[in-house]
Amino acid sequence: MELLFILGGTLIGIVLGTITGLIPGLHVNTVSLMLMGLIFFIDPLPLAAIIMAMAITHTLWNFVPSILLGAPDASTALSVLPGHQLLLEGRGAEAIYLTVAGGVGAVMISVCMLPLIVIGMPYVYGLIHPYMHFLLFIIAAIMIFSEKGHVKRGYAFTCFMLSGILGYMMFNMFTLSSRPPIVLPGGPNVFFPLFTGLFGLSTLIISLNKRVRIPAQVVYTHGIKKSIAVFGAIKSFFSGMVVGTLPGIGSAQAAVLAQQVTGKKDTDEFLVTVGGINTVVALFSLVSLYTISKARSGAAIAVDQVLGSFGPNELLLLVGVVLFATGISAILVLKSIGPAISFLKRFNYAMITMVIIIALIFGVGLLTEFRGILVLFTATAIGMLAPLLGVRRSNLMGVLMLPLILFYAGIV
Amino acid sequence: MKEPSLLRISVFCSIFGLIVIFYASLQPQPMVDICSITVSDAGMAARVSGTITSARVSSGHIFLDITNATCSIRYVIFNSSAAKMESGGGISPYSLGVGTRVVAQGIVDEYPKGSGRPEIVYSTGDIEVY
Repeated sequence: MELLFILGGTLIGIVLGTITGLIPGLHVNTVSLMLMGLIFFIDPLPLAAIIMAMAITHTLWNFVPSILLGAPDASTALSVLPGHQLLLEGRGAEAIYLTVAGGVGAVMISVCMLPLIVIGMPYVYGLIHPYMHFLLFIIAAIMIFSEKGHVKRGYAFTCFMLSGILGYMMFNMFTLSSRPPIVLPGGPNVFFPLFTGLFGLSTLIISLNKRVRIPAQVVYTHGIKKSIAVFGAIKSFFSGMVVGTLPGIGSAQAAVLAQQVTGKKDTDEFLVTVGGINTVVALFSLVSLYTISKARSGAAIAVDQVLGSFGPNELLLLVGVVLFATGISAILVLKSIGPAISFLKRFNYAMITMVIIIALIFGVGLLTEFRGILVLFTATAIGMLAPLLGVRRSNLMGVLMLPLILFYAGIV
Repeated sequence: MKEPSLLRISVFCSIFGLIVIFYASLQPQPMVDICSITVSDAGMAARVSGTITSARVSSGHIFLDITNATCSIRYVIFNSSAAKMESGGGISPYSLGVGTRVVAQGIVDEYPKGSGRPEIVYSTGDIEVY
């Protein structure tokens, strides 16, 4: 009977992931943390299945608005330019197809390699743990120096430092409300207002200001080369491992690293890689939760808090959920690229954006009270700086990286 | 709105917000009655006052029982936080002994999980002795 509930939960997660994926700015981590409130009504395992199915489905769908509307979140930001390049060639639908192929391929490779990862990750983590601050510092430096020109690098450094200072205060000095209107398991979560502001509201406000319109589209796809799919998926797999092992690194940083290490010569392969990284990161967050007891994503944090303990049975079950959700979602995305394009065209994008902005502010107020709203306000303002200054949003991951560098260096 | 104007507003709000958060983080939490703290408050900030009725140090971690007229709660300062407080120039947490009256703040937690016993874990700020 419980298996039926888990299956039902997975299907609900697929529906929710489709919604969060299609709406830019509605980050899956935000919704994961909100879903924790359902623990009072739903058993832990089906709820964890909802959260993971939603997280994985989101990663397959969120390239649709990123490529079609040019309205990305942090994890899909790098796909915008190559995605639009294909869009202008009349291959917009194919750009989405490439990211889905990357997602499915990378998940398949990751699941095949799962036994090795489960054994190897604690060893690798133990090996690099003493040098964590150096590694994070190097990655931050690569991120900043990969911007073009001194001025952009200066802007990137500013965004990194401002988000880093905010993160430092959040994790070392500031405490959220003592009595919010709604109390979730684990209490008010500082990540909710922080990430909603940095990557959610800021994206929505800028999209609203730009008055985003869906460009004209030709809907057709043709097959992709096997070599492109395989190499892209392998790159995603290794990038996902980096994200799963190192704290404070997200799929955006992994994509920048993959871009720097391998070069962005082939647009098709790059889109496969970016699509794969996004999906593998969601899967690896489960693996790192099991192997090194570290939750590397909002969804993993929610799963951890909902389940209380995370053992091999939970890992296997949720990997099954991930596989099922990936398969179903990939078919759904591929079958509905055409209708999705027409569907998005019909919507009043500005109206949807306004509703989401109000809902997010309301949600933050309910869960974290006035002090959470203050964090949301500041994080949104800092989050808007990156796109307005013309640098990557991934520089805003200074919010985690700077406090972690200082922590691992023993400075705080 | 034009992008340069939006940028100016964002810069102002970023700096203003950071300053307000910094100021707010220096303010003490509102006082909470020890008797009203339950495990459902886990994760929330709390500031309590009372007398230390038990003090124990294990592996550098400090375990105190803070008691008011009728209720008592375990207060934990982990060794990393204790070391930070020592080097911060404030009161040494290791000097806190039985009979000392304190005002202390931290985050409510449940330990062991599922035990139904709340405790407060030191997070930020100084422990006031009076």
